[in-house]
Amino acid sequence: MDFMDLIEMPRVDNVKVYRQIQNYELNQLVTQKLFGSLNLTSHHLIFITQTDLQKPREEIWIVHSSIDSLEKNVTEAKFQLMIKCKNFQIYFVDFPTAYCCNSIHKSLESLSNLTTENMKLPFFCQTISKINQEDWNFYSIEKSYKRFFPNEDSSEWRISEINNDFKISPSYPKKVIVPKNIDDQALIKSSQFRSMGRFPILSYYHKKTNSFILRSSQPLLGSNNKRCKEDELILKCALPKGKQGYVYDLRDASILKTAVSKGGGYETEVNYPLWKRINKHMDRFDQLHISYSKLIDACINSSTQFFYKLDTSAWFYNIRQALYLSFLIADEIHNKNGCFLIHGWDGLDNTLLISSLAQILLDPESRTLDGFIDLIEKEWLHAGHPFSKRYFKSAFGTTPQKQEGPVFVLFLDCVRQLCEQFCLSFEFNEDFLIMLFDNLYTSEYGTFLGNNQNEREQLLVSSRTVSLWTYVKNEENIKKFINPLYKINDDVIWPSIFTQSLSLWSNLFLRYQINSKPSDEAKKEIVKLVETNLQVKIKVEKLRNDLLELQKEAIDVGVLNSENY
Amino acid sequence: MKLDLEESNVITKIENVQLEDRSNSKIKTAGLLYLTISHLVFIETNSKREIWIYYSLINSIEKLPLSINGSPILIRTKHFLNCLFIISKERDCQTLVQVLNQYSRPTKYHELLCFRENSHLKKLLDSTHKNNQQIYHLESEYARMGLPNNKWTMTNLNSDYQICDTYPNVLFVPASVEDKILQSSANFRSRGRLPVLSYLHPNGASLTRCSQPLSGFNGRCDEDEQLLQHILMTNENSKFMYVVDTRPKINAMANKAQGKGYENETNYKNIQFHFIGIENIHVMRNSLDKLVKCADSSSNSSFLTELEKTEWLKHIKAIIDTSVFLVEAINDQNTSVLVHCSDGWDRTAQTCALASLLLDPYYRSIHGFQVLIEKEWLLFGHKFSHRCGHLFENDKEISPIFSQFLECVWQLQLQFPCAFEFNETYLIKLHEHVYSCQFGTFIGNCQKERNDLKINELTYSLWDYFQSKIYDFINPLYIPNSVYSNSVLRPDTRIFSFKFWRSLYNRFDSTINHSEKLIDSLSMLSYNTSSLQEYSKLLEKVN
Repeated sequence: MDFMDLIEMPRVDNVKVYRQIQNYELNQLVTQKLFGSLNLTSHHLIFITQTDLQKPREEIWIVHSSIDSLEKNVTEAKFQLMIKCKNFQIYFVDFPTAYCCNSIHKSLESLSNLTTENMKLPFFCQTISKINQEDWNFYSIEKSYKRFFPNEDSSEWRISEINNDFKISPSYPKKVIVPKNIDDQALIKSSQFRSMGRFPILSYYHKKTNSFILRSSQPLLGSNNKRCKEDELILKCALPKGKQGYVYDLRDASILKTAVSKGGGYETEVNYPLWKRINKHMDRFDQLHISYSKLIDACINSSTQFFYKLDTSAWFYNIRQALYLSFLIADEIHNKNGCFLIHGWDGLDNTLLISSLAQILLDPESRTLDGFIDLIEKEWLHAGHPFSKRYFKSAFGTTPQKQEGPVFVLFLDCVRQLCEQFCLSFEFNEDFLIMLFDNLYTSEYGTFLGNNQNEREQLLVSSRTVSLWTYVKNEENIKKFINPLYKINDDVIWPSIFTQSLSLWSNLFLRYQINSKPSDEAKKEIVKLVETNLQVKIKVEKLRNDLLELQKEAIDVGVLNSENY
Repeated sequence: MKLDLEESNVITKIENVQLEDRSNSKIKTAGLLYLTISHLVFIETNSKREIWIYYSLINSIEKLPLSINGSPILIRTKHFLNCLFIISKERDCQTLVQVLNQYSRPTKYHELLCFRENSHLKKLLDSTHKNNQQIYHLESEYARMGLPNNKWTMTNLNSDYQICDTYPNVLFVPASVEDKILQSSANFRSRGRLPVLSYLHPNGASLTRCSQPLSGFNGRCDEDEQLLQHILMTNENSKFMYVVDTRPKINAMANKAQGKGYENETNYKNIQFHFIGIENIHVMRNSLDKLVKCADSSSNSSFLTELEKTEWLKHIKAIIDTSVFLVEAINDQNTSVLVHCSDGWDRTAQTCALASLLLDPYYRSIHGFQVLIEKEWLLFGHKFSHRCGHLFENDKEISPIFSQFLECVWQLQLQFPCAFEFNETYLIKLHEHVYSCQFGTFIGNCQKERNDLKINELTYSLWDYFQSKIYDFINPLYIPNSVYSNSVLRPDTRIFSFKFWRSLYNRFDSTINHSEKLIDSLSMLSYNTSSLQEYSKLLEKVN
């Protein structure tokens, strides 16, 4: 298929575009009205204003894949298309005729809903910068292993390459960390007993207390109560003496019966005697999608009952729940003797959310820029979070398959809440999180393509597209993402999870509605304060050295008596 | 303020007391309660941690149903500390309630803390001097605005508070107006609070304030109408002026039946009359009560819904909306505005002060902000003692009007982090000391009353105390010459711009507040920079 087949009308003249922009002087939202022509290319909708002597030409570029939903409003007098973007920007376009309106609408519907990965933007953007293999290989399991177990010989864990051809578990990475005395045959058996073949693997090892987090998918107990000796053995072997194992099942206990009747299930007390099962409810990704839509709706139509609408969106409930559960896990791991196996249904969504948040609380490394990128690679990309499915639509759109759900957006919001509560302890800043959000839905970089490592390999992502980390690590860009106040904090951080302690992510969810200039000014001022402080420190250091030199000289020539100093 | 228990006069001691954690009722700490003549003191047995509560700050004492551990008693303070003590002996509990009731609400001004000997403040402030309270002269503030000039003049008509006892003794009025007119206008206004100048903008448009006219259903006063014409004439840039009644229309209508009311547009030439709709003191008091409970509820799964129900932020929004209306009239339309509510000392004070703060960057400096409070609140007779309940008087008079003003300023600080010289801590401390009665500054209901009480001679000034701690209050992000700090502020007043003020309403809940406070670390950084700069100067000299 060619893009051109989808474009009936590459250009329409006499088009009006309306968008809400901020009038900084009045600190008010005003509707900007532009006249010009609309152009459709294979990847962009480009609006160009008519040349006018008074005003410079303006261009608006909208990537097709950034369009979340299209609403056509054609009456006798008006031929209007409303374009809602995945980043919450909204445009209204008035066409001169119903025919153009319909035609553009039809083309955009197809172009913005292309599911073929190969036709996505990153494959056409190799020129943005050179493909750098190092950035594609920034993360490796060996790196994690080395961090968890600096001394390999005394470790009870090993790296298994059983999934090297993605056969055992298509959504797992090639290499995983498992207990040392479990052989690959047992892993195969266990994978057959777990949904999508996702057998228990090591997610995080807390060196300070030798406690750990494992994650997996649900066991396939089924209504005839199947069991798997090898699966039981993995959990038994993993748990050292003196530790208490907890299975954190992120589903409500009331739903387990249904799970069993559908062939799934849970770890029974009889077969896993060392492990205590705890059911903690988290909204599933599809429920979370509804929550997200309500949240954005409250933000856009905020005139009445704003706080009530925020509350009923349940977005804050989900943030609190996620932070609360990771808090409990971190507390057990760091202060008590708990070790964890986390899963929900398939272990693709909430499991990853909770395990990565717990790591951010526990592990200072994950609060650095590099460590955070590692965490995203390990706990989301390599762990098989289905990025392509979950972020095909944002808050305005849906698909009939209902596979969309903003679990990673919730993760970013939780991390931002932590950044706000611990403004010194994170090396990266809010802008970094917003940049990740933007690249999640539509990107020139290949990092978030596909649903797992397997798919990314088949698409040859690493040789055909540029990694997002290449962009991040660029000297000019990285500056924008660094928190100037960062100081290494080796402690575990304990966030507050009261609703009062949380805030709405206005720089993201209200990004097209608020005036960001005053807060940008404040950010610049903070950088200035830090720089001034640094310069004075350097100056003092130099003066002190000078003074010492002088004293030494004076003593050497006998002007000063050394005993006085 | 750290005090020593041995130096304080302990009346009685209560043993076997447990303090229950507000966020987790399972956590209780054991300790002792001391009742001194000025404080309730709780000392934890294990950690020796101390909680000192000024009696004057106690807002409510509530006995809860008996539990197996003893009698629970919930004490809420005016600065939002909530303590639930469980006292094992019922008799002790009765003693506690009795002492607190006796000491927390004195009936006479001279029983208030600020009139007592205070060795701590003496040490701190006597080195400066005691009554620096005259930081503010009305004349000098109006001189800053370029007054008197050919349009506006100062009148001594109220030098003995004879025409209005709740106004200051000097007033600024149009130069063209005769005393006779002022006198008659005062007679036609509730409590004699005639229209006088609050703030003059450089473009000539003025902000004037007054109380409601005693018009009833069709009363009118020729001189009052003339006074408005004189005010209108001081501004050459506009052919009309606004009269803003900050009350909801229905409240103003109800006042008509009592012989009060609002200006009839047909009687006053060239005025545009507006109702705005800020609710009255009773609504505000109830709203705060709900807010405090909402912030305190330990299992607040529906906090946001509860917050919505309190309507608190809706009221805050209404005050800022009104102030923005005043700013747009004065600055953008070059049109003067006369503001009033009922008596012109609550909603009028809020909106005139906020509008001035938005219009003039001077009021966003530490000194300017004090001047603003002195002028719009203290001198123009906001009834601090009544509204704060300093004495045991009518509870129906209590209302968080000034607190709302402070919160509005805080909301503006959030939107414009670089526009204010003072920080959030300043507002929180100010809020505390408006109620604490340690300083004379906010005691009494008007200038006349403070003069009669000899506040300046007998008490310490809060402003002096603040001056001695000024480094705690400076906003390290303040940029005096930035776009936002140097011009008219235009806040966004859509509802999502308003936030719940956690650091005030949950001030003492460490589990709710953030662990690493941005403002604190920035202040530390600035402090570090300035001391290093000092040091480097010293080193340069030595070298």
